[in-house]
Amino acid sequence: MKALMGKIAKEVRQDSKGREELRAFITESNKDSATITLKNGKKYIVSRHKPKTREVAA
Amino acid sequence: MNIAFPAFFLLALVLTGFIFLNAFERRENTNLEKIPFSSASARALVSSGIIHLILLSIVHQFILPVDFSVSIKLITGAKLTDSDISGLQVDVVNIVFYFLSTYIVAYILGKFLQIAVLKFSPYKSSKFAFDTPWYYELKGKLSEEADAEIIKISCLVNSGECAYLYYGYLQDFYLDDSGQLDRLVLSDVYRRNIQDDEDLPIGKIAGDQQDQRFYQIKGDRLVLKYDKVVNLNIEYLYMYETPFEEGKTEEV
Repeated sequence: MKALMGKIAKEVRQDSKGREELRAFITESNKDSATITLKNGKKYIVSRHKPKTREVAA
Repeated sequence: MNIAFPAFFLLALVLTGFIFLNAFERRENTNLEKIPFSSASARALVSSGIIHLILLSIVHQFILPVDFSVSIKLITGAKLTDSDISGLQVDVVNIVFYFLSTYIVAYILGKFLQIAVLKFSPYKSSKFAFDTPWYYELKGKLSEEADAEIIKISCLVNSGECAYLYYGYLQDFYLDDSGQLDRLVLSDVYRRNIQDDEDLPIGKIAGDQQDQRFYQIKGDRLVLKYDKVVNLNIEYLYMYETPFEEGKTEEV
């Protein structure tokens, strides 16, 4: 069965630069998050924690 | 022939329920519901009863009157009269068409119900979730809050005298007949010998030194048999766009 693979993960893995950077994140167990840049300049953050939703200031 | 026909007729009736259950519980060539055969048979009997009741009512009401007395005679194995047999001979095409239609309807109904369950009860903790925990764990469907993008697997595998730690992204997984994990398929895999950790001084496992311990496995997919895995660590990774691009400020 296909395992979990979200839309962003698919996009990153289809991009050669993105995939390399995501691959490098595997061995960086001391890092909580990393920025991944795709060939087209698009940037994503890969994180071990769910991002907190931004609260709207009153 | 006379002795076997009621059994054949019963089988044709019950087959509807089995087709329905198979369509409902099977996804990507894996059974999502792990229940004993006796329980599955009971469910198939009930399902086929309900489907036939609905379809026979529709056929009898709107398409063609059904002679239920002949059906009951066939089920109970009672002797058929000559008029019963001649009636069956005339309607043999209709009977075959009816059974084929019920099988198709049962399959479509099963798939439709499966889609509905997975859509409206999609998480492991959902009320109508299938009894296959690995499915939900490895599809990342644990709760509404957990919307991870990819799964990182770290597992300890015993290989002869050495124990290796494998790291990689989970690509596919296979379950056995009892719903347990059978194989894991990883991509972008690194391996390191756990023995190497013992040779390093405490507090020195950082930076480049850590990277040297990893050996990158060339290849697209690495298949690991689950029975060789001693420990399995599942890590859900989240991905999102950077909030602000460099050189830009947030507009209020």
